[in-house]
Amino acid sequence: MARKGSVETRYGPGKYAAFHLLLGVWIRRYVRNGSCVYVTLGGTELRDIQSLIFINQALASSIYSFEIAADRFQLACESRDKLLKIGIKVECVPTSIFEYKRASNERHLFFLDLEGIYDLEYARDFELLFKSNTLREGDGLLVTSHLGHNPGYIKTVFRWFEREFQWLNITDTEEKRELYRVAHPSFVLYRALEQADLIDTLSLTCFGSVQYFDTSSMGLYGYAIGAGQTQFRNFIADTSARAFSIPTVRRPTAATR
Amino acid sequence: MALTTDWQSLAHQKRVEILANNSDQQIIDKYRLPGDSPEERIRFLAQERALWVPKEIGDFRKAGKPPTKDSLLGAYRDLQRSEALLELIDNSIDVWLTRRSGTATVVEKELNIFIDIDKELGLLTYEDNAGGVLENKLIQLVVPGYSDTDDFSHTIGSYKTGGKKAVFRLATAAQIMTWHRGAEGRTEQPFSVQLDQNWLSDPDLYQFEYAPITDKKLIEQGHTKYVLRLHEEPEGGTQWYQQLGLNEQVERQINDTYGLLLVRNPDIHIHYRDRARALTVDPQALYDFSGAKDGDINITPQQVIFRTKLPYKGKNHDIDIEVIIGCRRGVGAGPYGLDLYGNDRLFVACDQDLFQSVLPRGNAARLFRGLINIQGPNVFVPWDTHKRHLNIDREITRLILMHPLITKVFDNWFSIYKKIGGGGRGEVKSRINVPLKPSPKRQDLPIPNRAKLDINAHEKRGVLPENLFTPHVKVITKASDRVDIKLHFTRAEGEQIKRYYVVSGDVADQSTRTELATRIQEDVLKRASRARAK
Repeated sequence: MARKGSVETRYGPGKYAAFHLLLGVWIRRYVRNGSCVYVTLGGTELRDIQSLIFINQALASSIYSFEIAADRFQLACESRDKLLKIGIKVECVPTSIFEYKRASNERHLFFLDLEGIYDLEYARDFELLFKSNTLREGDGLLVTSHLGHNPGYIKTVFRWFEREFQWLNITDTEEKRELYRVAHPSFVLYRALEQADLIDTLSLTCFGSVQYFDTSSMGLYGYAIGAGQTQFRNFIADTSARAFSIPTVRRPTAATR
Repeated sequence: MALTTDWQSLAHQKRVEILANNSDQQIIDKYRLPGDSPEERIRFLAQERALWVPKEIGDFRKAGKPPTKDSLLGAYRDLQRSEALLELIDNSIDVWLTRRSGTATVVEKELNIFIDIDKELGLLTYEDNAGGVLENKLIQLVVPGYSDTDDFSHTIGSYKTGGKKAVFRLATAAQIMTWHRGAEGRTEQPFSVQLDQNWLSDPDLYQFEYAPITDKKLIEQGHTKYVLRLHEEPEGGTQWYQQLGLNEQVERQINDTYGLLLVRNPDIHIHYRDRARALTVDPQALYDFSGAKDGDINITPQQVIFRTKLPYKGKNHDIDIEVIIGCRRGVGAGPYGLDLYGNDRLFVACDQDLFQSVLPRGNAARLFRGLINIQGPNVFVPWDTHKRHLNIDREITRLILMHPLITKVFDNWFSIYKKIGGGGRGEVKSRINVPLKPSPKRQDLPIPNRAKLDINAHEKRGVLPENLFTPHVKVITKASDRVDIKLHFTRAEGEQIKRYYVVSGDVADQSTRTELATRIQEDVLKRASRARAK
């Protein structure tokens, strides 16, 4: 995640590892030898695209990178030109990724490296992606969320997701916090699906989430969209079951007897 | 073996007896029940047993009487004066438009409605030339539930109570004169319906008295004229129609309610307390949309008519959901939000709740201006009996809020408001303050972008056609171009600033604070740019 307000976006080692892990799972479970259209909000360096190509050169049939901020867009274009020299073609688009107009039925993988928390504000954006068939059966979604600061659990988070915690019969504060860290993007996506009235049409699966630390604590969450139904409890149970945390390197402490 | 007896056709008492004395299977074998599968029929019977408790009750007895007029008598405290007049106007418009659409052989070319008040006598006269009422239909003027309007009519009236409520709301006694105009050469007679104070206050009295009018100078053929002895409001003081403010309020509400309808039907004239001058509506002023349009911006308003079908009583009916949406010319004072219409008649003005959860936050939401007009059988218009509230549980409301194409049109505009509100502070906002050019298309609002789309009401996913107008605005945002400066004032200082910028409202209210923030920002930026220019 980039620091808010900074022009360059940072692709640190933690994100590098998390992205590779989840991309590997998605390819193994859902793509195998197929290809996809890669749509990314990957930042200025386009390192995620390099990762993608490193894992499987034939994976992306076309690549779109979105950047709405003019100064970042310029940097992204410079990175794009460098990639072109090594044979990787990327189309940089200077608008919001939520304005992406899908032109093909080919499987898509979306990567949203967000600046901040993937909160309920995004439910509407995703509702529209579902409704417009932009995000549909067969697609994959990777989304980051900032876990580094306390958003105000009691006043904010627990209120945002009061309904979800009630459905899951979770009343204990500590348990709520833990589940929030592991599953809040699933809560948001479920709301989006519900608002789009597609709970009985689309099946959402969280195929994994990885918590990592570069400049602050972050989570990367991976989803697969299929035909079918999404049952809230199962969806959240799967999300919780597939959580992984990259160990943080700590300064060695003095040995104790 | 085919089952011949339909369960629903049996009398209630008989059905309860059968439920009490037979098993589910016996009933299923003998009667035609609702439901397509055995499971559905068993569920239906379980519902019936839970609802009527057939084994736990004794012999049936009878009770009940026809309803009283109490609900009409309650109109006095339930309805505003202007709303009562609107009900009468609704009826006149419905009758005239229905006659004009082909059911009558003779129709006046123009509908004229006159509302006059005799201040000295305290009498209100409401007169129209919509066609008059036949003797055998006089009951429709007086008794609720009687009307030529049915659920499928494309009318404003839909509950068959409006005109009657109006009389009860406004009058302590009433005379209704009417002279029907039928085919040429047919002899018709004018009648006077007379409802005295006793009739208007007796909850059980429905029969009314009427007489033929012998002096035909009293009313013209094709006219209906209500003469109402007004309630004293307030009791003993200066009456409302003698108070300038209250009188103007009524006139304004008539103007707002029928503004769109009058623009689209220039042959309808409403004269409020001035027989020589009908109310006029400037289509340009009705919605003050921005007309900003150049290479980087096009936010000229858009009309999309979504044509669909909805079921009612076993049949599909054609409905048009007309959406007009644009951007206001600024975030300052003035109406904003969504107006809701049914067959061109306004019933909710400036709604900010329907799309509240998806509108951009803060000042950007004040750029939202538009309307939804549901055109079709009146039963589909989601209004209440007074036509002042939206019923959010109606299927059509859900359709508006959920359909992928309708929501996408709204969302296109919401993202424009967000961009204008959030980006290029001051710079973009100044570019939107452009009046819309008058439209060459007469008899309608000046909307340059128009489209009609057939939609499937049950569709959950879809995309708008490529050629449909999409508003756009180019806002250059930078990752690091925003600076938030917080200012804190005491309440007294806030009041002072409010006076300085001529902003109304309580300084503690969010909307007032938002408006003040905008004014301060614009003012400071203007001063700063002037200083730079020197």
